[in-house]
Amino acid sequence: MALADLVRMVNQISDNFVYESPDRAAIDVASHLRSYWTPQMREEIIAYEQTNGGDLSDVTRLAVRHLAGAD
Amino acid sequence: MTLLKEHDFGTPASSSTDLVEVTIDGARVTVPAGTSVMRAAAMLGTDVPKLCATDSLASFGSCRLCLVEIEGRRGTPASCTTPVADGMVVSTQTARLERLRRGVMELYISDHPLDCLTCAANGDCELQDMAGAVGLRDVRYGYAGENHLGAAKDESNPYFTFDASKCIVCSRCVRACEEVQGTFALTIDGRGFASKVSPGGTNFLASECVSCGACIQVCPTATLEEKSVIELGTPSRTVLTTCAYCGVGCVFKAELRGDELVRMVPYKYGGANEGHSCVKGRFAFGYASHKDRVTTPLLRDSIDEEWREASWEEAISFAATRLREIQAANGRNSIGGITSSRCTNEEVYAVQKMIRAAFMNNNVDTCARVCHSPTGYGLKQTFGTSAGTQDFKSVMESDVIMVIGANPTDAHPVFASRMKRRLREGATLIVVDPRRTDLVRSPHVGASYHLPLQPGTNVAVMNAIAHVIIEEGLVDRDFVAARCETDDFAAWEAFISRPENSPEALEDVTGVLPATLREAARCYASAPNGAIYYGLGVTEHSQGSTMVMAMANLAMATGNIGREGVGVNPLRGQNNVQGSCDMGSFPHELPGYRHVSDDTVREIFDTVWGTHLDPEPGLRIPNMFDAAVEGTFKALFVQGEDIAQSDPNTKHVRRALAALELVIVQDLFLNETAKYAHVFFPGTSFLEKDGTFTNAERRINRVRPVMASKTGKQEWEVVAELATALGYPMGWDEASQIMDEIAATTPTFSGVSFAKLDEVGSVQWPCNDAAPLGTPVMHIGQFVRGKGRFVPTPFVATEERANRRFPLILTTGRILSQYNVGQQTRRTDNVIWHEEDRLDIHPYDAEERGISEDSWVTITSRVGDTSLRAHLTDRMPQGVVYTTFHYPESGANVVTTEYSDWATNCPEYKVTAVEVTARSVVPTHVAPADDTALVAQH
Repeated sequence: MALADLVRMVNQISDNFVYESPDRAAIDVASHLRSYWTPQMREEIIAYEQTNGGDLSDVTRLAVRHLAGAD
Repeated sequence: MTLLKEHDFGTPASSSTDLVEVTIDGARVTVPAGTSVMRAAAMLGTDVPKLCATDSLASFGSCRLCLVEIEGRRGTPASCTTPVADGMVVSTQTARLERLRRGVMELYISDHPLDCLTCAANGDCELQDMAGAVGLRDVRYGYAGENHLGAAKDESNPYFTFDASKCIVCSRCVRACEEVQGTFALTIDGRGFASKVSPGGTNFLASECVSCGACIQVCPTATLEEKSVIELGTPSRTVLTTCAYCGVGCVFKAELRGDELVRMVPYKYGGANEGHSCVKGRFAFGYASHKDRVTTPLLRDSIDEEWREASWEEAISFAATRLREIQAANGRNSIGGITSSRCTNEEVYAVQKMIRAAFMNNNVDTCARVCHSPTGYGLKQTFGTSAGTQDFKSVMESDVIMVIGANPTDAHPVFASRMKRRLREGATLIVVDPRRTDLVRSPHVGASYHLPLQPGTNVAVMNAIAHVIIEEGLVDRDFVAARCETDDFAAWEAFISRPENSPEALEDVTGVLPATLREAARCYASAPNGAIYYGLGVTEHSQGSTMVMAMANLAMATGNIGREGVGVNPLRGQNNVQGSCDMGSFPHELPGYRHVSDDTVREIFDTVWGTHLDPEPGLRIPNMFDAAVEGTFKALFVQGEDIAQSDPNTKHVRRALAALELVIVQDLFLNETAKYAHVFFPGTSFLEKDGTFTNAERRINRVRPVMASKTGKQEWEVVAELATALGYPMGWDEASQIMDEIAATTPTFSGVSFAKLDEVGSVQWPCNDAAPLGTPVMHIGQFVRGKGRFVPTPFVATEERANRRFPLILTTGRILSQYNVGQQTRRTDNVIWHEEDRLDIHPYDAEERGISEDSWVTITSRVGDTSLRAHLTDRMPQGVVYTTFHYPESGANVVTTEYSDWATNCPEYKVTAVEVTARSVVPTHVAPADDTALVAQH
């Protein structure tokens, strides 16, 4: 999948957990990605976070790191 | 079965729980208080002669044929309008009554054509039956006097005639239009001998008639008659089956003469419709035998080649070989498929099983992705399961009805009629919709509160309503304490109580007057029974899932869940949206909404299916398109869905389809998607299917084959044969075995079987040992997840914004006579009501752009443009335009974008920033931009 689409999607997910603390939101976003994203999509967003990640929101970066730890 | 005719008890049943005993013709019977004498007699098996009475309508007392004698009472009262009284003694057959009835019949027949032998209703005419029942042998007055025998026939409607010469002015049709349908299109014009039924002083086609068929259903003569009966003759046998249009799931009597379908008549005991219908289900079935039907498999190596006909064996072998070749070259996950909400549970189950077990991945999704996937997510998060909470009857117990983002009079007309009946009885209506829909103001129905919000601000409106409820102390704290997670409630309450969620703070965003919103909030929260009904105006947004949770929060906070008259109720767009989701069509869920990562659940299916399932979620539909364009996804099986027309950003969809090495389409017609297909498996219409549909109230109805499959196979058989060719035989011989397998693997369906459905008619899941006859109302006593869960719902504005370049917001929807992408209804006479999609635009917006009624306009978004004609209407607020998406020529989805719901990727069809410009040249409608040149063709 196009990286730009993945970035847009994951940031949008994070925006909807704005009512939570960043740590809590990151855990919930990571859980959402594990539940609904394919392994390849998760790998691509993890790779992007680890190599650049500049377009990821703060919560998203935290979430993807959680995801990387779990995956 | 032979022709099925339901017993007509003459007047409606009484709902009283008090009982009274009466004696009728010497026999005693105990009936509910309020029951008419006519009905009580019918319950004993004595049908009092009648003409103006029928049990779908309130008693009227005009025909004077149903006279009876009652001990101790003077005269001969009409049995239809006389309620029983305890100890009443009634005689229905006396010499006096016989004389009176014959006299009445003489008068009727003296002004009625004596053409019974050549009449289309011969043998199916109550007037004829009653003449026989009262022993009429002669008409003493002769037939030469003034009469109506030369009255003109109205044949304007494509489906039925109105022959005024045969009308006895019993008013049944007028009353049915009022009481059953709620349209009030008919009236009795004139007085005395000049009285006549009139569709408002014009002909039926030009009138407000919505062609629901209710008038025909109750007409006791041949006055209102289906043209198909006139042409083909009266039917001789019945097959009970279920409509394949919207999610109401009406049960019909398919009435045939030999093997020819003559008409579809709504079944009195259909759980969802109870004898009512709409123009689509009642009449628009002609597409099943349309000349465009493809009945032979088609193949081609490349989409720029012509199709060639093939045998089933060759087509299945070709498809299986190509699928395996593609997987061998590109990996197991390079193929997938899409299930259809137009197909039966059994057909959907077969496709998802083929993908999971024979394709060996979870790349299965369903067209519910683009409509109600947020319902699945939102209701599961809050209540614990992905389904509406009520049965349709429940609305008759509602005191306040909030309709959000739904237009049921067009999209779910039979339910709308029931809702309008309740509104006429006095329930209060709140409509949350940018448009002034019919429900906001129609005959004898009006919304007390219309919240005309800006598109895309549903969540803000719902948060503001919740804010008022908390601020004004309207929370049902006893309910919350007993039934919900209290910590989650506290977090939600704190969130909603923030000042930024007040109606006043959000007015600039929502466009809704705070005072009106506050009144609506009080109204809903204070109602003894408050119910929410919603449609795609909720789900098809970037916050569709959030909005579903917001509505669930509201219902829990006010205690409006877990009994009749309340609840949160999705109005499903297609006949089997609920079922296709139930059957495990989503890439992360196995049947019964159980996640693929759940080892225990996978073990159930591994055992029954003899396979080893992938524990990871697969691709969603938009993911498949993106991966196809990227080149990692190579083959797609498409069951009964025209994604090239129905999915957003058509240009992107077509680019993805063109990039695929193999597209297999299983459908009735060579649709837009088939232009990109290499294999076409001809499908079966609902009249040929054998299986079940599950409607919006979780009701599982049987779909029985009315005629033999025109392709020689059921669709599930084709899927099973393809799976066998892939090395995975499924082992089914008949559709009932598929439902047996569903029941064996899915706890909410464990009590379902074809045998049970044939015995009891229908059941609403959960149907299991705890609820052997199903569950009409869910969450009684406790939620499926145990305690209800409040979820905070922050309003996050969509990224799709109006700006100077695209200053208007486009929203889309359906119209009564057409259905989705129009594959079916465009191939029926329904086109007479809607022969093209139009753009609804406010007169001020039109004037600014030099646009006049009927003129051609171009509508442009940032992803595409299309042309259609304009309709100027102040139903639209300024700044918002609207169109339907029934015709590929106008292709509304050419302009809709890929923005989608954050949780489910349900497309944001309801918010597209556009500009509309007048065009001076009539467009030559060609298919939307052919992007096949952009990628290599296969």
